This record gives sequence, structure tokens and C-alpha cells, in this order.
Amino acid sequence: MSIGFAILGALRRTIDSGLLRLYRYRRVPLYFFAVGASGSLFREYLFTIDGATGPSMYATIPDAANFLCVNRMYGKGHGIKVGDVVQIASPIFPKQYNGKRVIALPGDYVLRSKSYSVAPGGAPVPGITDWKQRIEEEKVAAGQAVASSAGPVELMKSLAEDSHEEEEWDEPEMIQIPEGHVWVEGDNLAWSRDSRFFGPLPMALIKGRSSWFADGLFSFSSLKPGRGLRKIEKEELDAVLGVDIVSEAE
Amino acid sequence: MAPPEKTFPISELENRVHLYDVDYKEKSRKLPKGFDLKRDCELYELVQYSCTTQEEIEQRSLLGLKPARGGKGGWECYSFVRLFRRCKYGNQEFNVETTAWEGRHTWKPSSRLLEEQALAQPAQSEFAANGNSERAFAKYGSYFWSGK
Repeated sequence: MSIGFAILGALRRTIDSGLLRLYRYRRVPLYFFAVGASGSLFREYLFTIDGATGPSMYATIPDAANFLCVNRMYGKGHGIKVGDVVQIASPIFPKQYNGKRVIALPGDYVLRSKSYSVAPGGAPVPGITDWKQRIEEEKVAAGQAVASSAGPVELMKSLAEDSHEEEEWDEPEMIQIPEGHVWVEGDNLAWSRDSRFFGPLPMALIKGRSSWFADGLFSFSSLKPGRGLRKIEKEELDAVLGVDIVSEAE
Repeated sequence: MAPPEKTFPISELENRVHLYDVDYKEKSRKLPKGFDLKRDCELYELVQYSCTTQEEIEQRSLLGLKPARGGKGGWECYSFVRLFRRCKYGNQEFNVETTAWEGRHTWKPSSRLLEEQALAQPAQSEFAANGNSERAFAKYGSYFWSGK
């Protein structure tokens, strides 16, 4: 009997000792692994929240100090529509991600502008393409250096030539997007390295649709699909397609 | 890398709309007779922006002018409205950008280009009327071997 009690006592002491107590927490590393893996799954297949910088989407998304929420369920271009803002893996810089707007889907037709072109189609647009004239005017206003050297007569001549110059530009080219590709362009046309630079983008490089951006702690803004393309009703047709009101008045 | 780009001038747009690619082979969309882009497709607009270019910022700093007014870092942004037509037929749909085809930024052939075309046309017709010995020979050959 006494031997039996001794054995039991020894057993109890070993159970109370630290080594076996650890046995109760044997699953804790597993829990850590599960939390990490599900977090990774969430990040990879549902939503990614990450900082984003760069001027290519400026005016829609700020160029610094902002966070993007990317919906990864749209990965590889599933369910993407024209006008969506997407997050893409850059085809020219490894490990770099860009936010761009989808302009055309496979089989669609878009204007093939040159890279960094300020206006699609190359049309002269007041404000955008006449910056050289604006600089000249500011130069004249600042120092009158040009006016004094050229003389009033010549200046008047050059002004007259400008006003009578016909607005002509080269015929714009269009492109049909091949299968499995999309055409992406940044919203800031003059500062965006996009499909105009590297051509149609393979859909497999789309990582997801950017659904929200935050330029402060509590200032979230939506980038939902409805914000991209806007349907024009019949009543608006004349106003949108009509001649520019400013040029008509002149 | 992206496949080779199939570009075409904008004057061919209305004809090109009827074609699309399946396995990189051109096929007809089989659009209804008398299909008209302006009548049959809904118009959409997309607003994008064009900010002060790098070139302008450099020029301004060289000339010692003030940066463009407004905006961040001397940027001045102008909006640019792009036009799209969304055409639906059956259960398929396709989008066509019509920024340079209709509306304010429509491209029109310049007067110089029209003159050149007008000059080129009579020359072609003369050539066809007078005929050419080489051309006649080629025609004779194509009687046996088709052009394809």
C-alpha cells in the first residue's frame, strides 16, 4: 500500500510540475498560426488596406498621405466595368502597384493617345493645351520684355495670326483592345504612366478594385463604379454634344 | 507583353465597330441592319483631369515666373470630359470611346488634307482610264492565279 501511495504522490507532483502544465497550452501556437493565416487570406482575397502615393490619380485620389481599401474579390479583372478604379501590378516596375481607371474592356475601342498626352485625341482644349501662350502673356505682363523688343506692331501681327489660326490637328488613332486585356489610364492625364505608355494591360495583373480611399483618419470617400461613368439622359444630349458655349460667344 | 496593337484612324470607326476578335481571329458582331452608333447606343461621360505638365513647371522656373495659380505644388488642374457609347445587342455589350468622333473635341479633316485628297482622286481615275502595260500584265496573271 505504501508503495502505491508513493507512486501516486510522485505522479501528482510531476503533473503539478511546469513541464506537464505546458501541455495544456499545446494549441496556442496553432491559434497564432490560424490568426495569421486567416489574416493573410483576408488580405489576399477579400480586402487590402494600404498606403498609396503618387500623382497619377490626382484630383480623384490625393497624391500623398492617403490610404486605399482594395476589394480583392475583383482580382484578375472579375466583374470589372468601365470607369472602375483598379489596383494593378505595374508591368514595367517589379513589386510596384499602381491605381488606374479602366477605360476599356476586351473588344472595346479607345483613343490611342501618346504617353503623357494632355488631352485624349489631341484636340486643342482651352486651358490645357495653350499653356505656352499663357506663359507668353504672363511674361509680357511681368516685365514687358517681349513687348519692348518686338514692338507694338509686330506684337499685334502675332496676336492676329494666333486668332486666325485654324484649329487643325493630326487624325487621332483608335485601338481595339485584344482579348484578355484592358486599357487603363490615370485620372491625371499629364502625370500618369499607363496604357498609353505600355499598351493594353493583361487582366491577370489587376489586383482588385479600389473601393474606398481615406485622406484622413475619419474622412473616407467612396470610389464606387457609379462614380466613374455617368449616363447622359436625352435632355442633356444637346448640352453635352453641342458646340462650346465660350467659343460660340467669341 | 501585350500583343501587337491594332490601331486604325478615327474615320474608320463606324466600319470597325462591326468587327471583334475571337481567338485572335476577326469576326463580325452581326449587328442589326442599319446600325447607327449615335442612335442605337447610350451616351456616357467620364471626367478626367489634366494638370500642369512637367514641361510647363520647368519653363516657368527657367523664366522666373510664379507657379500656376491654385492647386498643390503649383499645379493647376483642368477637367476633361471623355465621351463613351455603350452598345447592347443580345446579351453582349461593348463600349466605344467617341471623344474625338462627336461632341466638342471632334476631329475634322483639315482643309489641306481635303485638298490633297481632291488632287489625288483625278490622278487615280486617269491612271485607271489610260491603263498601264504592267497593270494589264498583272491582271492577265491574276486570271490564272488569284490575288490571295
